[in-house]
Amino acid sequence: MKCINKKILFDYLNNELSARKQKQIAAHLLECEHCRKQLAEWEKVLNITQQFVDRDVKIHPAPPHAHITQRFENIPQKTERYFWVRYWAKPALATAAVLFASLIIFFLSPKSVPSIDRNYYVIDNIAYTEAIDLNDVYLDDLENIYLQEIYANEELTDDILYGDWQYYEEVLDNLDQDELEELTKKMYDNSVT
Amino acid sequence: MDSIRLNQLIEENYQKIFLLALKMLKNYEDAEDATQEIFLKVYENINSFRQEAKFTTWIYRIALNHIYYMNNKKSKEFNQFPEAHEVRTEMNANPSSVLQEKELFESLEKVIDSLSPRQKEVFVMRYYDQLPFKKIAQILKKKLGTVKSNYFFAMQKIKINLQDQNLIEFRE
Ligand SMILES: [Zn+2]
Repeated sequence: MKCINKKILFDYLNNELSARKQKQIAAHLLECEHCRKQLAEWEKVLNITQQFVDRDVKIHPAPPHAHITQRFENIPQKTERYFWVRYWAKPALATAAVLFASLIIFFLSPKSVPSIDRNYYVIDNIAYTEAIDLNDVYLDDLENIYLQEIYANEELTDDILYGDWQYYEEVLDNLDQDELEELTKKMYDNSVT
Repeated sequence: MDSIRLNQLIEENYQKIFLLALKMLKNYEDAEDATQEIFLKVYENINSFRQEAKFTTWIYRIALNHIYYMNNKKSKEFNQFPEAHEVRTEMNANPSSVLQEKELFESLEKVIDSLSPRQKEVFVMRYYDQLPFKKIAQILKKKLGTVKSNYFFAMQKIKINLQDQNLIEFRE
C-alpha cells in the first residue's frame, strides 16, 4: 500500500473512517515510519490547539445573563400560526426533492461500478471503502468520493487551503455526467481489494 | 416547553454561543450584545419550536444568522474588518516556559482569527463546543463532506502556521 494521503490520515486520527479503513491504515502505520511521523505531527497540532481552546474558554466565561432570563418573563411570545408551513410543508417538499434527485442519480449512475444489490453500490479504493445506500445518504457520500479525489491532488489542496473553498464545491456540483462517470471509473480502477 | 426547562437550556448554551460570537465577531462587547440578542430571539420564537432534541441545531442557526448579520452591518458601517479583541493572558505554567507558551498561544489566536468565516464557524463548533460533524452539517445545512473539509483545511492552516514559525518542534 502506498503512503496515506494527508486528508485520510487526518480522518483516521479523528476516527472518521469506516472500521475497515481504520484497520487498513493502522496496518500501514505499523510498517511506515514516514506516515507515523506525519501522524505524530498532527497529534501534536491537535493537542496544542486543544490546550489553546481550553485556556480560551477559561479566560472568557459567559458574561452575566441572569437579567436575560428575567427579561423573558415580560416578552410576548410569537404565535404558532405558521407551525404547519414551517415544520410540515417544508420538510415534505424537501423530501420530495431528495427523492426526485435520488431517482435521477440512480438512473444516471455510472454502470462501471458493480452493485451487490439494486439499492447499493460498493466503492472500494484507497480513499474510500463503503457500500453506499442509494436510499439514504447517497448524494453526500458520492460527493465525499470526489472530495477525496481533490485531496489526493496536492496542487488543488493548496489552492483550496489558501483560496476559495466554495469555488471547488461549485466545481463538484457542476461536473457533467461524463466527467462524473470518468472520475468514478478512474477511482474504481485504482481500487484495492 | 416550560420556562424552567427553557432557562436550563439557555444556561447550557450561553457560554458556547458567546464564544462562537466572540470568535466570529472578534470583539468582546459585540459578542456580549449579540449573545443577548440571540437569546432574546430564541425566547420570542420558542413557541414555534417543538422538538427539544433539535434545540442545539435551532439555536446555532439563529446564532449564526445573527452573527453574520452583525458582521455585515459592521463592515458596511466601518468599511473594515472588526478589530481583533484583546488577548488576556493568564498563565499558570512554570515560569521558564511561560514566554514560549505565550508566543505560541498568541500565534494560534492570530491564525484562528485569520480563518475564513466558513472555516472558523466549523472550527469553533467542533473544537470549542465538541459538536459531531453530523450535527454541524445539520446546523449549517451543508453536506458532511463539506463540513469535514472546512475543518481539515482550518487545521491544516493552523499546522502550517505553527510549522512555519517553528513554534513547535516536529523533528525527533
Ligand atoms: Zn506511509
